Amino acid sequence: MAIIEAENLTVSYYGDIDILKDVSFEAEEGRITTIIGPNGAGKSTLLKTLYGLLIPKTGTIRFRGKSITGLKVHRFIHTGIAYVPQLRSIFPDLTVRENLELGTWIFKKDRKRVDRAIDEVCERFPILGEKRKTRAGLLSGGQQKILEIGRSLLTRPSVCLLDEPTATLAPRIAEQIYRTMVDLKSEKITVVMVDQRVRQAFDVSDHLYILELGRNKASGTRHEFEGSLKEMIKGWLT
Amino acid sequence: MKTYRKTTLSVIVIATLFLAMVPVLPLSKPYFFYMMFWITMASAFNIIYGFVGYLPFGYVMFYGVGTYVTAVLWSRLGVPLPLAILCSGAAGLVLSLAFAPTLRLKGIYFAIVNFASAMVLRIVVANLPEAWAGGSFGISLSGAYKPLASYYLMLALTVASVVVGLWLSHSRLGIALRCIRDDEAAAAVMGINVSMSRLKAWMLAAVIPSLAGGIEAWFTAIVDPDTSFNLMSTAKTIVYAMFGGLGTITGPIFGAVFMYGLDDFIWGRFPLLNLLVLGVTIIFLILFLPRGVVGSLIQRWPGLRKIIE
Repeated sequence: MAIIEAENLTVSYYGDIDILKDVSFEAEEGRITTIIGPNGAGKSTLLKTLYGLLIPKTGTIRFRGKSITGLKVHRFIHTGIAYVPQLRSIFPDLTVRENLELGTWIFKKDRKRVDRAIDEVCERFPILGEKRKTRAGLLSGGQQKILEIGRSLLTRPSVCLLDEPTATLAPRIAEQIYRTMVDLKSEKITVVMVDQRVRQAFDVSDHLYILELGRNKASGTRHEFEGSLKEMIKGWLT
Repeated sequence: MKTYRKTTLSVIVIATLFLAMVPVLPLSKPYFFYMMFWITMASAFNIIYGFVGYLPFGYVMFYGVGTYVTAVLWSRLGVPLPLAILCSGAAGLVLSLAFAPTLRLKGIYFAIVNFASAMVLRIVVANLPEAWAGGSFGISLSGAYKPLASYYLMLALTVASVVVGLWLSHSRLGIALRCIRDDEAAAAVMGINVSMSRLKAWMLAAVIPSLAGGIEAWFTAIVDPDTSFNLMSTAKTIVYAMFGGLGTITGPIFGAVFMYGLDDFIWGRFPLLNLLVLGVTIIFLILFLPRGVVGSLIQRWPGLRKIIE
């Protein structure tokens, strides 16, 4: 069943220059859905629109069948949707622990709940526990990305939107991030990601969406793409 | 209680006791009145610039409206002064709400719009019917002149605005504001209501100078548009707060005390050099101490955070 779905989205940043044109999308519950496409296809824009950072000109977005079109960004975390932006979103001057505490903002002053959530995340990513007193800005790029992903999981979301989680990371760390996604899937958390590493992303995904120039080009299960993917993405590289 | 909290509170208590004694000591009352006035302005300004990162270049308008509301209510409608001053605060709130949509602007655009708004307000007030707002001559409140009462009222407001700053720096709202200042999108993603938090800070930063304006009108017993909407007041507020260190609580207080003292000293001896010194100070501040005195000390020795905040 689709947990998050978008229908006929048209989105623009400015005036009538539409970045997404009539794009539809859906992600099955407990699966990994990956959006791929060449630069400028509108992949990140689609993710931002799903998370309310951009309001679509037309079209609707539904979560568990209910419309969330136009919902304010700060309300999303309450619905159980988490989002990890492409660019660095940690607070570099705060420690790892403080960054995690901010991730539990919606728990207010419920210390027990805050501590439990942070302990859980540190168990999943031991590096965050080891470095809890380190200033987040001093972490390596990969550790910062892990911190961001860890922070987004504190509220136990049912859907996790990840915008290029492995961009700029060393291959081995990227590998760890992909493993994390598979772990999330085994815990019935829906993962929606945008990725540039087509090969690796393909290997962990259940569903794929291919966007080109702001339009749906193709979509289907990994199985359906098995033979045709190479042909399809050949054009992007030349 | 944390060490920094203890030091700050003891300094506040000692300073308050001293300031409360000023009228009975052979010291200049206006000097200390204006020192408190600038501490109040700089501390309130710190809320919107230090915590939120918005630079209201027309900050003087809140003070200006405060002076006029008190003056008009007392002189034209016979409203008792303490009540009129409260109305000044309310007027500041209304004004901040009226300008709330400008919070959507960022950086220099917000600063310019705010700057222009202050100039427009000055022209509007100066051109109101003379029977109401006194035109360019202003309004005299000499019938209500009570320097002692207004002095103590200013002391109360100064203490209150410093305490509000202290509360804010460790409250959820303060944490939210600093997150928003550093990374608005990340703050929103974590569930922080960006526009509401900003609006709260904006209202807080507006109500304090409006009250200060009302009290100052009472103290000087004269109000006129050129003084009430003088852009130099904004400039001084910014420089005093920056000199001490924005984003800290002690910074704006230290900056106001030191710079006001310096300003007064120079004004008394070399009246023509006054503006030159202010200008040169701004240049040196930006070049060498962008974080202000207290901010730079904390940056150099982070351990200081344990005793000052």
